[in-house]
Amino acid sequence: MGTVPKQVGYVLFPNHTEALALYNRLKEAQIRCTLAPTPRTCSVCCGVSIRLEHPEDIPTVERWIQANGITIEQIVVL
Amino acid sequence: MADYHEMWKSLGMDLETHDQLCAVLPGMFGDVYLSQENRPEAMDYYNFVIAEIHGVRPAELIEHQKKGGKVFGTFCVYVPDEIVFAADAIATGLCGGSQFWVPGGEKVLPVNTCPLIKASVGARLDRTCPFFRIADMYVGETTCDGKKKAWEILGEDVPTYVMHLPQMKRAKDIQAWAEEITAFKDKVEEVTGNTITPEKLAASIQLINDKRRALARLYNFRKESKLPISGKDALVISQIAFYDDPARFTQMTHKLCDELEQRVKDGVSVFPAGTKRILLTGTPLAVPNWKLHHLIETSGGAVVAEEMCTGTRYFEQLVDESQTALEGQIDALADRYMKINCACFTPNTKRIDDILRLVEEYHADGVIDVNLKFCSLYDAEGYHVERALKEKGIPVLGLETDYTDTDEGQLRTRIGAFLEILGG
Repeated sequence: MGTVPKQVGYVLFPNHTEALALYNRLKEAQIRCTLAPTPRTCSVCCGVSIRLEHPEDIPTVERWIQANGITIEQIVVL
Repeated sequence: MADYHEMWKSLGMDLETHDQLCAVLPGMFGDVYLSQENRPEAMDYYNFVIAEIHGVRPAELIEHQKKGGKVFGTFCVYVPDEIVFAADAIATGLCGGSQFWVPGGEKVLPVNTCPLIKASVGARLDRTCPFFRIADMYVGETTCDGKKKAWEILGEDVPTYVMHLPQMKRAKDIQAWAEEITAFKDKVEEVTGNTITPEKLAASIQLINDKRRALARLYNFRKESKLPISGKDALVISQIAFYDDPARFTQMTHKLCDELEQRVKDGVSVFPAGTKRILLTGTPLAVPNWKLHHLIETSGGAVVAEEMCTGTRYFEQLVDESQTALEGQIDALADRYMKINCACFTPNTKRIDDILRLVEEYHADGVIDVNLKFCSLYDAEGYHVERALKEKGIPVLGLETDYTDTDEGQLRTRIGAFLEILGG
């Protein structure tokens, strides 16, 4: 029996400037995340996204996005 | 998602084929890098650079060109970046490290050419790498026969300047290299229309030395008994050093080193106690070639240093910063660059001295001598390297590989057996 892969969230952006803006906010808020290449299953374009180690953080992340006026494309759980 | 298609289109790239590369890179990076536990937070910068490797940096280079600046593409650690930056131009690495580009190279080069050369030629001719499209001029060098012929082929498609590297290290050879650097300076001045003054060259010598100092600081953490960073993370940093803006790279690498310093104080290690420490030596590992580090570090080993062009050969030795006249500065450049110990030199015993020294400094339990298939120089030198290590009682494993994944099973078996021997 194989192990079930851990689920992670990906926040996708229209450009890297928005990604870096949210990344800095999330780090200040101590939300576990990393900058990562966007998985192909999320988008056909190359580029950076934010990988959320705990998908349960997504509601908090959405609040940060709204509060800071950051533009994102979507949030995907893989 | 950031959409760079318009930029790539304007560079004349083959978007459909390039798209196939975009499809595999994120998954590959995820498997090799994001699967690691307890990575330093500051590695996020390098994740960002890789995620945007065909986006942000190419866009910066294009902006530079729009302002009248020039971009020089280089393939080797002997080409002095200092000269390029002193003329307000930008030097960027162009070495190909993916199998994706190899078939394109094989259309014009013999199959029994090393994958690094084939990939570099394929990336240009197949129009699938923005850096190869952006560079106004390529700067080749005479470090091997395959490269010399590759420059002739590339030279039909893009302006290519070749520096003749002497292959012995007598005083007259070092002088000859100084003359080559002077001729290169003249060419860079001609292409850019900018004059290289002693003040500008002094500033760029410091700029590139600062990058070397940052990399040396990073590598020093790999000498610790508790390793605060993995070998593959260090490798991707070394690879990015060839592409990134030097001042920003230096700043971000020091930021990472500050974090590593704290990790050392806190006794943090990314490997379990007793993990066997491996020094890699041999041919370069151009981005995105992470194959061997991944195999070693998922087989119970840790790579503690690379005696490679993508490793210590790139940053060890500084250029003398005390010279104030062009002639003295160029002699200082020639002295520093001729201290790099590449297998194209004869004799090349100082490389063996380097390997033995690095084994001590990084407390390596064993050495893996890796050779890219069809690189006859490093392959032949392996005889003396491995003999010297055996004479000192240092375990050594010789491996030959390429960019494909077809030999991964066999390599994993051999690496696993070698690590087991080290544990015995």
